[in-house]
Amino acid sequence: MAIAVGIDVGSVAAKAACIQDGKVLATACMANQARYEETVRQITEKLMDQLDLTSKNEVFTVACGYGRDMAQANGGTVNEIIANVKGVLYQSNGERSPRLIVNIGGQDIKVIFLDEDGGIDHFVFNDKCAAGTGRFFETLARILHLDVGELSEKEHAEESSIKITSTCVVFAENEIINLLARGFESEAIITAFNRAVAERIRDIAGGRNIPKSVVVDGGVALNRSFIRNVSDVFGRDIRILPQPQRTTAIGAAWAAWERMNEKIS
Amino acid sequence: MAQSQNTSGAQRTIHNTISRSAISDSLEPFVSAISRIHADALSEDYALVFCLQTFDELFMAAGLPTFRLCSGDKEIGNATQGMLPVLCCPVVRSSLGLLEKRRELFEKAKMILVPTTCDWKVKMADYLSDFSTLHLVELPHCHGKERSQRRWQAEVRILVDKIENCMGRKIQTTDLLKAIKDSRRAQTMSEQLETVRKSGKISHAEYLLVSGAYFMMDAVQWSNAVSGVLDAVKDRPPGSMPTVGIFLAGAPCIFPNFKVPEIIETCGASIVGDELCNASRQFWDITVIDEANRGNLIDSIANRYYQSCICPSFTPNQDRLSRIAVKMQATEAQGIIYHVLKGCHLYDFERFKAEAFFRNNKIPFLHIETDDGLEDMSSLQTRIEAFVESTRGRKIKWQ
Repeated sequence: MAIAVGIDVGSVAAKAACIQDGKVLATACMANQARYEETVRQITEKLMDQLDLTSKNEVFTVACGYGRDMAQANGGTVNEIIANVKGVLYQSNGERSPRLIVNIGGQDIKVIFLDEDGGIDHFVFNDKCAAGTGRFFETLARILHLDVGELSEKEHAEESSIKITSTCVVFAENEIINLLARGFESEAIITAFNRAVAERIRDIAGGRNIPKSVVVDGGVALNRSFIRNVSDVFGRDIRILPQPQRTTAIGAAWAAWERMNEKIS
Repeated sequence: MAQSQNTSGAQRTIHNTISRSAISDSLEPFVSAISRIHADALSEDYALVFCLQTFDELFMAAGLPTFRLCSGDKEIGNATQGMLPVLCCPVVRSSLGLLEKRRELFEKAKMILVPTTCDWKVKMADYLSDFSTLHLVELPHCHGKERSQRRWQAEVRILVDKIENCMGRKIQTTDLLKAIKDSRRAQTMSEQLETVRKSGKISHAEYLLVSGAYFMMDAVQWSNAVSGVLDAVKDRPPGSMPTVGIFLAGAPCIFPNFKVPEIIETCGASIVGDELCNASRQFWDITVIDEANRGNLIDSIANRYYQSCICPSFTPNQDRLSRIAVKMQATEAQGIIYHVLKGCHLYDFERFKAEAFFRNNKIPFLHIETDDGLEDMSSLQTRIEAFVESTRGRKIKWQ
């Protein structure tokens, strides 16, 4: 039986998903290797290892993300914004579709507004700047000698007295070192940065008129303390999908599934 | 004509455009004109001009050719390293790069004309103040006021005196009438060129090459060469691929920086119209003749470059959006891409109003901000591709 595979080769990590009979069978995720070809080979292997495939299974692959052309996918490529929306809508199956998707990737932030039918109304990106992206949180964790995953647990219960002046990765590094030198605790610094980044994303989204139904995805969505800040700043409940960093790969797999069925019919 | 060694950006753009063109022979006069700026020497007398206020009719009437030195050449702009702020208008950076690399172009010019269109151009003029041939035309930025109009006309009369002193003869009424006629013909040719672009018979890169060459050609040469392009595409079938029609607005995409239009067209869209001051907008406004006497003709020419101009440097500037909307409606575009050059604050300011205006009218709108570097090609492509895909099949209902 044919299976549909989606590979999202992002700027920091590669993600893959597999769909059969319209259902997600397996997903995989790994950090990028120095060469995109090697990343694609390894992520595909990681995904396939989870499946009980025979040589009779036809594999139909669609790729997206920065390294999509390196994947040489037999089903072609799909735009990552479109794949992101498809992945979110697929996982919202049976529920009301969201009206706003905030995707925080390794080095960009996409804010996608949807119409009531799940079509793209418009979208906004951050421009040539890694402020508030996955890369930014990696920098924060590195300077504080933490694992990125630990950022989720470290936060002050009360509002931080620190006012962050810049979420630029380069300036933030100086600012964090300066705050540490002035004796501030890591928790207070993380709390302040979570707030500053959430406010920046609200500004990218246009500040006002945030729709009621919001999904945040991308790896940063796993950072619970940050998401609490986004919810607070947006004044909205935030929905996090089960595997937020793999949403776009699932969308690419869905695109592969659709194309495969078009080909058959 | 001999090329300097530093024209690789220009050569690449010319090569990309010509190699994909089925009408490359008819594009040759434009390639030749556009390459002149890199030529080793220009033998004839000429004036250097900037921005849209080029006063073609006055210079043509005086018999002094002009070269418009607004440029999008990053490699040439790199020659200004350490001279300019990091966040500088890329067009001014490239123009001043020419000063560094081709100083003799400025030295040999009989006149260097800089309109005070924006702060960047004013500061650019500072760098040119060593040249005794520099002449500033002060642009009154408060649009729509009678006193501004009078000040502008006075500025243009001073310019006429300057040109006459420079050429050692008076500009005659008959010269002005002929120049206005020649300039109008170029505008008519431009309209015909836009029609073939809208039908998909020429690509936007071809269109930009042709319209950009107007910087380096006089109206008669240019009109004759455009006539050759129109002949070459006469029997060509309209673009057959189903594409999404895009209207390109905002900051100019000046030769050789065709990055944004090229990405748009590789994403399955066609640019069916634009309002760029280096492309179609240089031909929008015509000289309206009231009375055919010398003073009146000079005022009419002055008005052409001021009254209806929608440069974002003006205030109030309500006409800007309504004129763009009218032009866009005529092209039947399905969406608008608003281009901001990083460092050009005026187009950046205007884009918020543009975004609100087009979104309120349910017109698909994408804002992109970039410069003439190539490092953001991939992320621009992602956005433009998603915009084109989400716009496909939509039909705008104009109110």
